[in-house]
Amino acid sequence: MPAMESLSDEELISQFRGQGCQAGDKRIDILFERHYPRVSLWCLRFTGNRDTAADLSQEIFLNVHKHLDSFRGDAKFSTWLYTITRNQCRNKWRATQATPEESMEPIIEASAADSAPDAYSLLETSELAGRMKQLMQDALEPIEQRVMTLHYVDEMPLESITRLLGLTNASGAKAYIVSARRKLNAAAARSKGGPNVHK
Amino acid sequence: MSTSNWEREVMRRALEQTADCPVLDELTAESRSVVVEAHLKSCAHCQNELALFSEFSTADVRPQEAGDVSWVAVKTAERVKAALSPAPWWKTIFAPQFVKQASFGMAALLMVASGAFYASRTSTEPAFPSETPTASTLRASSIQLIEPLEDINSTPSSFQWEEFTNCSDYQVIVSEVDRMQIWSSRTTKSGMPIPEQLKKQVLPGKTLLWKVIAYDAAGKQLAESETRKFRVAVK
Ligand SMILES: [Zn+2]
Repeated sequence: MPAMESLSDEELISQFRGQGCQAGDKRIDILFERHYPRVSLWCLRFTGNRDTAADLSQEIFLNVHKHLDSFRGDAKFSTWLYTITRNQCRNKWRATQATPEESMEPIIEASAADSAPDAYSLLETSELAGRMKQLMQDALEPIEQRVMTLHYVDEMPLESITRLLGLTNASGAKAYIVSARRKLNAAAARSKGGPNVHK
Repeated sequence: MSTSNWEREVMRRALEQTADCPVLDELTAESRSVVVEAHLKSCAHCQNELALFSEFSTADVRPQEAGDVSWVAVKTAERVKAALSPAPWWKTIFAPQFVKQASFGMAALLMVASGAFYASRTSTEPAFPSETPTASTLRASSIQLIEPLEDINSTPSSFQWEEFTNCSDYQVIVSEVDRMQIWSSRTTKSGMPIPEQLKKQVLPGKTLLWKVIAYDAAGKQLAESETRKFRVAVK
């Protein structure tokens, strides 16, 4: 079916909707075949286990299929699929973690945790977050910012971050978070004009 | 809120999307608008989003995971196909056309993916921070550093520099980009193997700085190299 194969992802979806969204539509096969490898790779890196990855990736595509009619015509399928993939991975991880925060406690180094809250105790959290954003921009390298985002915003397990970003050092993502926190502390101390509490 | 939860909240807010952030489709557009481009330059969140998306869409399959990726992709295809098919599931799974397509898709991915990855990763990263030294800080009578310099492919095994005349010994100093010293050692030779303890701190994608200072027999400083950076490529 050469004509259909040469259509873009978005054209396939638009035609599929025109047909009244029949299950088993050839267009959906073609569309999904293009993306199985990418999603599989992401799930595999996220879970570190091929059985769990296959479960997750299957759920993602069935979810995508279920919501195809809510896909905006002017959007890009690849970014939409990516967003769904990321959310589903996060939900899956949260569901298996009764207390995700506690499990990640050890990465917070005593030296880093001690000084920051005292230094900023009078500032509102949001104002502080704004300043922290600037510090991150100034003091951290792209790879460190990426690790911090996956850790704090996506709440991704450290081993998943290590695999997703291909970090080959012995302690993986944890080492980046430790060094990023130290840099942020040092930068915060400098920006206040006060003495740097860390040697 | 406990200290760690409060910190976590500050970090999360600092890194999450703001009202000004464009949607991913705008960030990934082939020609970004001037406004989006300007925003991207100043927003770590959007830089991260873009980098992670390119990780998703163009990441190279590493040799050790190739077998598992194929397995997951084929399993996913089988199950999705079965779940969506109005026909009995076993008919669909054994249809020859389907099997051919699934394996072709995977082969294409494995071939196309190699090479595209590193280029896309580096293109989304901003240049080094301006405080990072450049070759222009070179001094006239300084020690010349040989390696490691700039971007390298694997963790270096030693530091090498050119011999400086009349010098008794050298000190090698390694620091992070914010100038915090993380290691220092002395030697009488014009090179030094990198110990395991320091190798652990040489993280892929992270820039480190190093310099060498030459001393005479009385311990007086004779010369100093420029400070140079090096960074091991990710993967
Ligand atoms: Zn933004």
